[in-house]
Amino acid sequence: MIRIIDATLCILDDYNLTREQIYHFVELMGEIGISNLQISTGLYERLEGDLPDSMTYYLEMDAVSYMNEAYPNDKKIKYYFTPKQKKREREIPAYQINDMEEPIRIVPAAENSLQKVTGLDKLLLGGCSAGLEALKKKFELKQLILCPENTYHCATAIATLFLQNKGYAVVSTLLGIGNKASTEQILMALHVMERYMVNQDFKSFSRLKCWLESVLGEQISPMAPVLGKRIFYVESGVHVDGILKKYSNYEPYPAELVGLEREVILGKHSGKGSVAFYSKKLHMESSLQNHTEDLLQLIKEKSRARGTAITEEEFIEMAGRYEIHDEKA
Amino acid sequence: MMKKLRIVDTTLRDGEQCPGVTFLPEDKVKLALALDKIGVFEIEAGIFDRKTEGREYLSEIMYQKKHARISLWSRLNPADVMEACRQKPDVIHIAVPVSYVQIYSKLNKNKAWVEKQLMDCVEIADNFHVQVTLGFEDASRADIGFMIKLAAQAEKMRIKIIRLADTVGIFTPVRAGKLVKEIRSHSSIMIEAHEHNDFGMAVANSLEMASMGAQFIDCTILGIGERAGNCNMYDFIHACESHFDTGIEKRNVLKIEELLSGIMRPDRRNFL
Repeated sequence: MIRIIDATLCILDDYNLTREQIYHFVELMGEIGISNLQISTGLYERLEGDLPDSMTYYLEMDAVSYMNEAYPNDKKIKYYFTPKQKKREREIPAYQINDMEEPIRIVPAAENSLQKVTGLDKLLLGGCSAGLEALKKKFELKQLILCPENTYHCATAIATLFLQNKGYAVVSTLLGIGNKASTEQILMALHVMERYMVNQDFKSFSRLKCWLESVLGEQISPMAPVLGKRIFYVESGVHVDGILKKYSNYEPYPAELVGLEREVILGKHSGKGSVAFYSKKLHMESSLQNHTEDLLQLIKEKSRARGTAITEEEFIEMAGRYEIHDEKA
Repeated sequence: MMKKLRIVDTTLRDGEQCPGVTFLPEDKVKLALALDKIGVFEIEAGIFDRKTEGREYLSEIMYQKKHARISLWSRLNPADVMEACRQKPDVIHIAVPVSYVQIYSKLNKNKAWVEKQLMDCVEIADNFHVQVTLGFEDASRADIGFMIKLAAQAEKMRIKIIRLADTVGIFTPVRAGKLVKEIRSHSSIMIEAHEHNDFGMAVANSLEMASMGAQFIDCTILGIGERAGNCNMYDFIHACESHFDTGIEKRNVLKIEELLSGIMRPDRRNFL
């Protein structure tokens, strides 16, 4: 069973999220098939213990709260991530290990109990097999919750590899905020490569992106995997030609699946297919059918000279010249 | 001693395919010379098409560069290869569609057509005495048997490097590494890794391919490229420096990132 525990709310603890924002996030996470959330004591208090029923919760505790037993005891919380020790049934000892070579003493997990490890940024740097073997030597993967960190831009790959090797669960965040693996990237990689949640609708990714942008107060990169607004925009002639024939020629999954749109951009790298596409879109096929090549050259020249793409308005204006010319002729 | 790894920069070709990113010819010259200076092994300067960007920028790069090999990308089309050869780059990179999706669905051709075109294209490049590298386009969705067969043919044609292109960015590290291992077990041809970042795994995949024996890694500055971009050069060098020697200093890559950010117009910068 694949388990992804999303810890976005924990990472955003300092953002003073409102109740509404938290409930909205939980609802959207449910819509993309995530049913496990990591929360903090601060977040629990903000909700006054009123956790939505739809999720399984894991509460992360700092050492002081744990020592002082200043944390909520709530049946809705399935597990507690505790600092390196376990006193009660529902506690999972959590360790920070940056490198497998670190001489950290770890008490082996008893049968049917779990451990959590955060870090392991370097796990894949010497190769996947070596990394995985080193992990297996130290831990029982089916009893391990792994929260890989992203110092070397490998966290999503580590999390995916771990789940593919029957690890108990991974902890990740939306967009990988907080130097973590990215929930949406793991989900889509498993969906495409392992046919995981084959009938799931992921359209709410686009709403989750808006949610995150409003909380962070900044735009998410249009190139961000899965979430970026422009990842299905296409300009080059070869790619436009392929996409217009069949989306799967150049798309890892359909844009619509994650609530995004594909768009043909006109510019220096456009081909005749892009001109034909816009002619059809703007119902100008008949007037432009003999001018595709000339119009394409105009588009390329203008884009090259100006260093930007050509807008739809500019295309209409360029195309208009041929219409007028034909009328005069 | 650390294993040597050579970086192929494709900012000027695949990077520019990030929709809306358009380099002026003088931008391309500036970037290419900066990449040459920091020790990039090969610079893929563009797709030769006179109508798209003229030829002057390429001759300027060829004239001024000191160390890097300069390559031009070409479709598997004899006329395109011939045009590219006439520009006298150091290398012509010919993209060979290898997946059934690309061959049958996109091109409406078959495997025999691919093999025939490949022979014709390589012969043309040979006649111009231009070195050829091959790119297996959409290798992550292709039949391994067909790729091994093509690799054997390529070796017979004295081609030394094959690029495995994860065109739609669906590789995970283990699958990417296995493909390198499999091809290397059947052929002594050198492997170049070309990764896209659709699942945020471009760096991890490239690393694993290097661990499995790929000697060349394709990168772009700031990771720009089609869809979610390509393997980010800074990030890759940062990740690989404990095991591999690329000969490139990270701080010099940062300088080129600044140069690229400056070149990109303000309304284009927010693409990143």
